Amino acid sequence: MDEGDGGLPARLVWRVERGTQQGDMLGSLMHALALHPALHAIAARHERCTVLGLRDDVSVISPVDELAAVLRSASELGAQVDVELAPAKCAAWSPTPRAPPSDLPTQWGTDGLTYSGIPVGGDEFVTAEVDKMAAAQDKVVRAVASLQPDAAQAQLLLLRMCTFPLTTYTLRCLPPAAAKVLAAQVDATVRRELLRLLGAETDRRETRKTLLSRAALPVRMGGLGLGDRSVIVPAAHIASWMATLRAADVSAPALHELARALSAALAVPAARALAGGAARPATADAAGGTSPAEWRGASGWPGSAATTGAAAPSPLAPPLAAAPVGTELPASLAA
Amino acid sequence: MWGPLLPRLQACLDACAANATFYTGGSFGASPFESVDPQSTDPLLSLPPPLDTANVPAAGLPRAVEGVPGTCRALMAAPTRLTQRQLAEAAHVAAARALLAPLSMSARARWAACCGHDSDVWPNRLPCGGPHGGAMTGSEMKAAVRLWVGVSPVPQASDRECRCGQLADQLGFHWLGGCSHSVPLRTFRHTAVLHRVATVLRADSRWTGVMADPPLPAGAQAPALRPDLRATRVSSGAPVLGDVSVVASTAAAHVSRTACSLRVPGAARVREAEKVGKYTPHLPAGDPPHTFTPLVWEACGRVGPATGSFLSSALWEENHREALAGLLAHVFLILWRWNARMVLSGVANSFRMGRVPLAAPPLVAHLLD
Repeated sequence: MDEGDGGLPARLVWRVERGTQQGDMLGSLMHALALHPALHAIAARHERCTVLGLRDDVSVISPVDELAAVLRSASELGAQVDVELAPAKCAAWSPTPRAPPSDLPTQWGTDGLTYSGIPVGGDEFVTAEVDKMAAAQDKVVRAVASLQPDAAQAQLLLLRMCTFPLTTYTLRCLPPAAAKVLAAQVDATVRRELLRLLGAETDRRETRKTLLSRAALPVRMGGLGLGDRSVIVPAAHIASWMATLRAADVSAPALHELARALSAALAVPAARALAGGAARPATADAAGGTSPAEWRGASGWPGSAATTGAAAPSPLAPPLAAAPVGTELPASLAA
Repeated sequence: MWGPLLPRLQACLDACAANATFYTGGSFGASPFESVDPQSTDPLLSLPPPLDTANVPAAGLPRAVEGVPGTCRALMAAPTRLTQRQLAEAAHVAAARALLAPLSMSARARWAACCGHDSDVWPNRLPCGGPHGGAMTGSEMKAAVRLWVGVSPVPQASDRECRCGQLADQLGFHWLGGCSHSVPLRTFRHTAVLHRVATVLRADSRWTGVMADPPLPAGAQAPALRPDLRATRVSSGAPVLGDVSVVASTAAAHVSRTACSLRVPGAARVREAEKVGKYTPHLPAGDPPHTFTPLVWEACGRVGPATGSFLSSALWEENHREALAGLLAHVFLILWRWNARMVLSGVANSFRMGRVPLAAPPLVAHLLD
């Protein structure tokens, strides 16, 4: 406490010995300012690498044989700004099948890695992680459901404001086919709980259908904002890419090239085949009486490889798989 | 070079466009989701006719995108970047229109009464304790939410006969507006709204002499008009009289007016005009002159336009946002709390019709002879 005129405190100072204060709105910015020189130094020392930082999460895209050196550099250069690298929390993966590098025995993941909460890897890995996410979501929803019966107001708020935002972030980052699976599972979980919460399990089917259809709309449209994840999956994916590609400070050359390609592209020929079932059922009655729940099966996502033709790529393939054929793909390292 | 990425983005875009498209093979006339009452210079005296929605530009709901671009190239070339919120709203509006199309006019009115700019206030209210805390009991909340989304307030609802002898609809709107047996509960609701408005005005330093249920002036006889609220502006010394009313926007007289308007609460506007016509000619003379303001809400929470204007001006300046938002949110909650209580009470005090067809005469008709 510094004393000003008259012995009154002119300002209060809370001295933080290390890191930033939890809850400080400027904490992230200060952390980024402190870490920035270290990231620049790593990038300068390893010119073949792309270094990305998001708060205290740092990722490096580099050739596999250079990853161990990057780790050593990160440890050395981080220490100069009082940042301690935690090797046990680092993970590395390459989309090209290969044996684990001998100098990265503990960090190497054969199937993929989880970066900022999002699984990046092969189909099986992403599918397994999505199942885990859905199970975690189910656990949260069940916890909300276990509140006392008189807490319906709090339960609805928790469902809408705590459980769904997590999913929204995930839907923006996952490959669309995986996002669709996750959204369907989350919607099913929330709808089940909503019916139980409102005592609608014993209602007639039409009543339940009306309730769930209306509940999927935003509150300001007379809904509850619950159970609409399946509908917003394509919007989340498109908006996420547009936010990335139209950002003013896109630094990665690959993203610049992708933005240029998209700006020049007309309709992609394969898109219609991939989007099999994109349109809603033409057999919908004239009154448009089909509910969104019934559109889920035809919401326009790439089907399995068996249904989209042999030439169609796997819908779970991550964007990294878009590199030229025949070249070894870079590895990712996330810390 | 990009492998499956470009087709995948196009597939996503196609799915967005499909979700944002309202498929219909026929015409259903103007949709409340695309209608708004024409603007009037005097909202109290120039009431629009019901269902006057032809050729009115789309408005009312949060502005969704005017269609989703068909190609990624168009997305990249758009002057402003489309957000997830905009794309999702386009899908929601299309879904809402599809749900709305087959509904009856009364069902549309019930739905429209729950839409609008501030309609998300009460479901988002935190359940804190205290007289103004915003907490609702579990049974009230369940009934209110079920009413909100357009299903019966109690599970396994059936047609019922009210103690007043009328057939009650399964949604229970009979008890919100037309039932003589729910008058006491409607009075409680009215009183709760009145005292909340008076409390907020009392807390504002620009008002003085705020009195709810003021006594009749000396010498006035019982049938004299008796406004619910009296207050004086400190700045001008002008007395303001107000009268609170909660109008059932889904009552038969207001159904068409409510169904055609999402943004403008037509039922509240009509009631405001009635109140002004009733009280204004009888305002006491004086200097400065007395003024009258209606304080009208619809039962589902929408505030009348003149009421909203008065409250905005009354609570202007530094406390405007907090005080006004707090008042509207709390009145919203009061209304839905009492809506739930009235409907639950009505259900509890009514008779199950069983398999008796709706066209049958009331079971207690012989008692009325």
